[in-house]
Amino acid sequence: MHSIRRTITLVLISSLILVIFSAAIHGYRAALSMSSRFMDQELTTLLYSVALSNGQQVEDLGSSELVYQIWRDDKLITDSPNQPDKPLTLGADGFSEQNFDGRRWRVYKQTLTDGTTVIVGQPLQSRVGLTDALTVSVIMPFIYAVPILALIVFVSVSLGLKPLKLLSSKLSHRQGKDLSPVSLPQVPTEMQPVMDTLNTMFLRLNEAFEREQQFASNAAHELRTPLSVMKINLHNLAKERQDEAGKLQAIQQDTDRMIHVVNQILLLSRTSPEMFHTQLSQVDAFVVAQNVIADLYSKIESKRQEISLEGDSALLMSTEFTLYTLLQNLIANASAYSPEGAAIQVTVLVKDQQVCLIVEDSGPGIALHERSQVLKRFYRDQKDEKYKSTGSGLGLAIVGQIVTLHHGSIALGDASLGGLSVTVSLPFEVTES
Amino acid sequence: MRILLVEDDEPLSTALSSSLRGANYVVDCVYRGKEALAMLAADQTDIVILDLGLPDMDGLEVLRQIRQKVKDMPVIILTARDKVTDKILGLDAGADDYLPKPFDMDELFARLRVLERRLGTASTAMVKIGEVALNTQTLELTVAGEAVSLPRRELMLLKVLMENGGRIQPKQKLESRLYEWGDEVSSNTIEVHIHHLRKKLPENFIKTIRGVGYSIPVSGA
Repeated sequence: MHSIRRTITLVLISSLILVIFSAAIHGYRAALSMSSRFMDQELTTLLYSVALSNGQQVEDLGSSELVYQIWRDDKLITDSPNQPDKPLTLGADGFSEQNFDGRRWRVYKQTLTDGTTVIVGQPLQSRVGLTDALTVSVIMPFIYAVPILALIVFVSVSLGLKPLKLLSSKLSHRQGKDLSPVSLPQVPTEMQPVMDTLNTMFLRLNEAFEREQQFASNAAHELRTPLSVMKINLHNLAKERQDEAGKLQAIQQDTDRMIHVVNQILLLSRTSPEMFHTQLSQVDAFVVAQNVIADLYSKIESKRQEISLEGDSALLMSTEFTLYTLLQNLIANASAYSPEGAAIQVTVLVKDQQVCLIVEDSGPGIALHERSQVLKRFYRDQKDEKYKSTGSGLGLAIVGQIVTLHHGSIALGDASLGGLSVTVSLPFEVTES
Repeated sequence: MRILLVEDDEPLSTALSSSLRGANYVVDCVYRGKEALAMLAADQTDIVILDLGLPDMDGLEVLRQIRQKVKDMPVIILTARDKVTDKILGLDAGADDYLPKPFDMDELFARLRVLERRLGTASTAMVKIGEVALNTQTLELTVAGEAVSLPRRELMLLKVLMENGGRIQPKQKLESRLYEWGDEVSSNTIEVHIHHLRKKLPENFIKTIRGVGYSIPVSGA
């Protein structure tokens, strides 16, 4: 990942350092050329004073580092102490740089009108020393400034990016599928378009989401009322035409199936992740199981099946509606696929930070090799063709969707009662993916 | 028995009222909440069947106003909404019963009978399941025609179970009813009462649904 703050800080600090050092180099060069002009002038002055001394030792050299020689007809007439007895330079008159005494020297040679040659010299090192002192005094403030400037750059970049950081933390700390607009205390002009676009998007998403919810509820009303009418009319007709009881019963069964499918489709839309995450709360699975059994009891009882509920209070994060739908599907399935007089046992237990819902029956069960096939149907793609053609598959798809919402798991096994056992394990907490 | 049917969907209203009339109820059909409140002012209604999705006002608001006018008017709510919260809201607003659409007519008739009994006319006070007959007003119990005497507390419990024949009565609900009757309730009070009742009643008359509650089956009786 690349960070805007790091990039800006690095670019600013490295360009600052670059500018400061090129200024330093330039300053060093300027100081060097200035000091060498000044030194050369000093050498010239020395040469004249040596020439004017007429062969006498010059006592006051101004600087102990300065040396001189006076030659006449290749004979050394006089010189400063500790000088090689060879000429300091053999070249032409003027300035030059020479090596002797293990050092490098700046040398000035002048041949006078009487044939006397005067040579003066000064070690380069002393010149550089002076230049260095000059340069350092010029550059030092810049060197000190680098860390201070770096700190200022870092702080101001951080400050400048603060609204962005605030926005990202606000977005990442959003609760579930919160689609309310974001607001910041002070929005910089550069970020205003981003904020506006973001909030417009949130608004539109929210509207779409509400429309979807509304659609489910409208569809419920629109379909359920005519289905009620159909059911009541069939009931009335069955009373009037007892001779047609067989045919009417078939139509009644089809109506009930249609009602079932409509209900299942609505359940599927209502257990969508958006719905689920906005409505999470702590729910007692045991109480929900009691309610489901009480509501399904007339159907179970009409098949003379025995149902019992084992276990104890088991709290988890979910919604009552979701858990109800899950258990209703599992228990209704157990009842539907078991013969008359069968036994159904529902168990709610807590294990390893999970709530296990176990529905067992004494029905025919599912053969081992067919179980994986059935499990697949729990998770099958909703675009599957089979999904569209039959109603019975929906129940499994709903169960699969709810288990996925909880990041739970589902397992099929042999029931102690002799039939199938379905175990759904749901973690206490729901983590959003 | 005179029923006020408040339902805006005309086909449903027609079918429902014809079905109710077939079962010898007198039915007044209205299509708006305001009409319903006006009808109630005439003071001839015994039971209200109220659809929550009305065009002129919210069904729950109609219910609240009915409660203000006639405190103990029995009201059954019908709704196409089936969210658990809708059900709770409805019952909290004072509905006596709740039926999600689409419902079975037999279910509606059963619920109506419970409400009728509560209204307490002699002809409707008798509940008979199999060989067991209970007068819900006088709490007189006969089994196979012979009078049986039981403590009042246990007869009240039996009454609740018989009035809701075929449906499960959760243990907690029965416990809270016992509280209402001023009884001390310990963890196995209900079990003890049920045990006593069973001794006087035919075998398997009261079924235990383990972990959930009790029920008196209607189909097998």
